[in-house]
Amino acid sequence: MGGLLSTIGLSSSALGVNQTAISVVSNNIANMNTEGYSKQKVNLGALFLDLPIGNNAANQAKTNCGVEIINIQRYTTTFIGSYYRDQLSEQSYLNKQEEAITNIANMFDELKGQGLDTAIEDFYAALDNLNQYPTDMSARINFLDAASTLTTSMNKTSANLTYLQTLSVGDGVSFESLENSEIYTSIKAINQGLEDLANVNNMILRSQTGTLENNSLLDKRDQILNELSKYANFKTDILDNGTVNLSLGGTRLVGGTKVLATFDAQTATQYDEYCQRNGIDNTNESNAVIMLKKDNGTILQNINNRMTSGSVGGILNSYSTEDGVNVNTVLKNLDTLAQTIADVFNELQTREGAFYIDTTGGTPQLSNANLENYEIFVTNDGTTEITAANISINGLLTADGGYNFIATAYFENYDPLDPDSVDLNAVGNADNIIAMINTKTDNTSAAFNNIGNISLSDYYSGIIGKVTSAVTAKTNESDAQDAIVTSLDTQTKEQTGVDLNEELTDLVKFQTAYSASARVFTTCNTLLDTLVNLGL
Amino acid sequence: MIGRVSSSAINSALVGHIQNNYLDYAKLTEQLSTGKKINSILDDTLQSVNIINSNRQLGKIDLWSANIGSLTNEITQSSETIDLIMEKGQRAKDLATSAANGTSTKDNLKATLSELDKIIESVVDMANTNYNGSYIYSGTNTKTPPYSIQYGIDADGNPTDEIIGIKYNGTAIDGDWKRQLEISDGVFETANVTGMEAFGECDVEPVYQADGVTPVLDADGNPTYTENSNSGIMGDLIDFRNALSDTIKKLEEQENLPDNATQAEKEAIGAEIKACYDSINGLLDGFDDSISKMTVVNSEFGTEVNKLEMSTESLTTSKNNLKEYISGIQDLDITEAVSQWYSTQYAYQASMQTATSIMSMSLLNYM
Repeated sequence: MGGLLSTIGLSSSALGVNQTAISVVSNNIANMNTEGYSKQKVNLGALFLDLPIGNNAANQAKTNCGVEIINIQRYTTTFIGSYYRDQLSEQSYLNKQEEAITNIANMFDELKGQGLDTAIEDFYAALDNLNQYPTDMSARINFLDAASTLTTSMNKTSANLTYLQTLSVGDGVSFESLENSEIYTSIKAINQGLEDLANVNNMILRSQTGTLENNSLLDKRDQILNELSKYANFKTDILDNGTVNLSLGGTRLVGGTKVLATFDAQTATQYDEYCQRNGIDNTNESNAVIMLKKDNGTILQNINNRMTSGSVGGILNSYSTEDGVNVNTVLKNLDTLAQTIADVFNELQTREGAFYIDTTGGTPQLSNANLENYEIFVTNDGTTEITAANISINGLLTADGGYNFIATAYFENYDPLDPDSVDLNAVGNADNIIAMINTKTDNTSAAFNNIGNISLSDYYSGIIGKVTSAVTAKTNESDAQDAIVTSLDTQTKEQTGVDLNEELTDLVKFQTAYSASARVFTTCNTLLDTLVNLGL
Repeated sequence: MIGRVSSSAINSALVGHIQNNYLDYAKLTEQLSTGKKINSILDDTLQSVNIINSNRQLGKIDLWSANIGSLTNEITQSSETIDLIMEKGQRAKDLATSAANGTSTKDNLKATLSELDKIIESVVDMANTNYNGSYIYSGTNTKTPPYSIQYGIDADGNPTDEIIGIKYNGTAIDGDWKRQLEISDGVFETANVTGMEAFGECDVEPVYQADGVTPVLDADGNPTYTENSNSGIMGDLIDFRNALSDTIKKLEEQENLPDNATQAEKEAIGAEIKACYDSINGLLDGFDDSISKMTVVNSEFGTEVNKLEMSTESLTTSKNNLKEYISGIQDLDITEAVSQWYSTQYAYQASMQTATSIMSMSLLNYM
């Protein structure tokens, strides 16, 4: 009799187990499109009674006690997991750089008529026109317009580059601009990730392994780690109990259930002040300086050199360093170009022997430009150093009648003490303009030293060439890395993702087992009924 | 676990393929709608720089071609003016030839003198030709008329209408007189010649006493003049005019000789008149020299125009070559692109169709 009752018990346990299995399957199906979800599988085991059974077959049959759930297995890829995160980190590093250099390249897209190159050419064309009609008012105004287009387009390009930089790493001075920058948002996200990770670690410790809860916490943990790896190359140390310790460049950030250090950032100016206070030699040239604040109160003031991967590293590399082709180096090149333009033309404009046309007396007459010293290019912010951002046309030239002060004439043998060395009626003398036109091809003067004694156009072409080849290189690197990540992604999805057909098969399988167990139960029930009725 | 396939992996792979096909399709569509392979420097970074450099060169060529046009126009204008002045010079020489043969009467010579004055005025007018707002023979003094006629004074120092000189006011010939336009990188061609070079001048000033107002008079009570310079056709015209008016004066003296004049006096005046004719005769070689000088200037202009024409030709050739080069890099081979466009379109459609049919298939359909 005991045998029959134990069979009922056995089938009822089978009912329960299959029901649970179906619920796991349904959980899998429900999460088939959930990002980061790992398929879970119910592992079943036969239940045995631990009895001395000997050779008695009947006894052997009695020891079978039914089925139990050994665990709910989570499909994982531990090796791919950490390798995947390293590659993710590298991918966001390269993608950031590609994005940055592409943004820069778009500003130099002469094929779309962005125009600095055209502006330089138009400037020379205006000089050519002025050479043909040196006394013509409209030729002079046209020249000033072309010069002004040139400076405006330099200002604009510089401003756009600086704007890109400010959006990414702040302007290096105001903390407010740093707070609104992408790098600061990233740091806040990292801190949030660290906190989430500590919480998940805590919950994992309190949950039992091999359960649905534990598995979903592990999914959560992996997802946080994947997200974090997009920002920086953190080192992860996954312990046997499922918790993970996180560190960056030797500093522990998360240990068990505690966040041990958080990120912060300061502006270049703030860091500079800190360095001065503490007598540290500051070689940092970044706009933004990343700090690490440990929970024991110590602060690492500058860990930029540890951000060698991930999007934070990418941002720092593209916007805040002086190496390679990035916003800073391109801005520097533009500044050099602006300085050279100013040097070259101001020198010719104000040199001894240069004369402008004075129309104040009615009949146009030449007047010594060297005495007036009206430079063509000046800064618009009162500083002395000309940059692409501040280069502008001297207001004295653009003021009413100021166009007269363009020094068109030049007398090579001019001697201030000898009035006969210059013919003041030679208003058609355009030798100074010819000298300006010649700067297209003759770049030997000292004013061209800063750009390696090549022409302005060639120097600008060089900038474009540098930017475009950097785009090509970065795009290739980035594409290759994308391919690696995509393939790893596919592998991960293939190994841990939910396959609907598999789940449906399982569903049918467990459903059948459930129905069969139910049938066993009813059969036993009928048998018991028969027995009970025997006594009546 | 090897060989396991999951629905999400298939789905994301399918989406990836559709996106790739769509990218190709969109890219070709953009190329076809613009007719260009390279629309942004990001399309082909290396070739873009070549296109930018070639476009820059094309801009320069356009500028140089325009300059050559201006140069040719101004030189042609100058050369035509010189032709006209040569005609006038020739006429003056003819007048001198007929005046020198000694058969002309005093009235004939007076008529010649007034024609000569007209010739001088029109030569000066022509030499003062203004082209495009500039006096072409002034060198770089483009706002100053190159020639002004100088008039004589009477015994009291008041101006008369007698022409005594033609002064050049342009840039000196040893000065900075060239006006140049660029016709290729760093190569400049001169557009002008100075009036001094082509026509010379005859700068004459009255001589004043120390007070600067009272003229110094000669024995006959006429004002005296100094000639600062004398060259070219301008010098010849003034020389001829002076000789002519001297001749007329002598003829008048001869007419006004008192009836009781001695034979010696008559012979003396006759000899003086003969000397006058001789001096007019002596001027003829000068006219020839001046006219041939202008011919030389004109033939130099002709050479320059030929040179400019050749430059235009070579510029046109380089322009065409550059355009062809850019077109080769940038322009789309439409036939190839259209067939590619169709095949990417098919690929795009096929990827979408297979995706939908795979994604809609599962065991669910059979349960």
